[in-house]
Amino acid sequence: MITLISSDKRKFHVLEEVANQSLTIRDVIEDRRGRRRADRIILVTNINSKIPEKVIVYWLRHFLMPEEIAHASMSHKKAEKLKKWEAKFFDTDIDTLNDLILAADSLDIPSLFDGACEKVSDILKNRSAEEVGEISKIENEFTHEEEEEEIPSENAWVWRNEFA
Amino acid sequence: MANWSDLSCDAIEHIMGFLSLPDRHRFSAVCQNWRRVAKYNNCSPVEQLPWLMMREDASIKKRKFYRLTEKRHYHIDIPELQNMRWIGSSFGWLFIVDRKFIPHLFNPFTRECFELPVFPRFEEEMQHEGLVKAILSHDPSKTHDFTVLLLYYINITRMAFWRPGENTWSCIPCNDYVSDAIFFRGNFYLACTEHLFVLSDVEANLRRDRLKSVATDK
Repeated sequence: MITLISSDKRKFHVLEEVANQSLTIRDVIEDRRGRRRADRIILVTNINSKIPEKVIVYWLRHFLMPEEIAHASMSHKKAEKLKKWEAKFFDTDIDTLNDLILAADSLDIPSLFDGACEKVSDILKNRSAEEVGEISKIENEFTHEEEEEEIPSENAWVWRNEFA
Repeated sequence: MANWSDLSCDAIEHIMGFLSLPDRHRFSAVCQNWRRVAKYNNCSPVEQLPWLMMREDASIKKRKFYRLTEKRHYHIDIPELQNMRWIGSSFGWLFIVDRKFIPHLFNPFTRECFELPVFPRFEEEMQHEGLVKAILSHDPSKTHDFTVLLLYYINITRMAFWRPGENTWSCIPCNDYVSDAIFFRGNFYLACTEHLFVLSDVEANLRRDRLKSVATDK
């Protein structure tokens, strides 16, 4: 059993075989093999407890249907079912998706990383830079020159609505 | 709660990989970090439906493109396309011919351009109108192992191939009228008057008799 501790000090116990889907955790376990039980505790410092919960739900779903099997011999019906499940799983607010990307990035879970990134791109599609800025609450920090001259002129054709 | 600006460059690049070209440019105007990633991430963007490229708009000297997904026009300034004749496109690359009749492959997204060898026997007989179609087997942005197939017309339709590293075009004689060609799953297919031909291995098929008929029209 592996214990994950989130930044708000909540503990999550997960079967090693399940947590192995994180390549980072797998490497850590491999490194610490044969050592004390206390070493099987992994701190997930940059994310709150909501995220490990989601990550574990994702792991469990995929543990029941490992990727290799999923691609090689999964029936069409099962594949559709998994697709539907994933669509529902990623149908969440953009901040949670952002946290999922961060978690998938640091824990090295490629399929989760891929799915969350794709969902974010879906949300950002066909929006202006201002809208994306509002959604993501990012300050652009551009200099006056960049904002007024460089950016509008770089790919002028894109900005027909925004600048021209 | 994590901050959006905490996303790694890998993550931003990955998100960008799912975006179309206009979205990618808009995305790059969100903040410094995203702009940096967009600038150094030059691969061809994803696009489900092809864009329709139209003639140059003479009054503003810009090419007009139509994007089906948004159902709108874009006027794009691409100086490289001025005075060029356009013969075909594959994987976002354009096959263009300049006034001196020299063919080029040009990628309007990344602005990469490279010159191809002069056409076979072009000086004596070939004319701009004789160029029918050019297609690529693979995306030159992703591999150097690709083939260009050119259909041209001098009295009858002719075919020529070129691959990176070769100094000349290789011609394939064809006694039939070839009206179209496509590349699909490793093979070139040619639509002729009476047959659909498959060219499975270009080099092995340089002789006409190796052309295999895969279907016959009634």
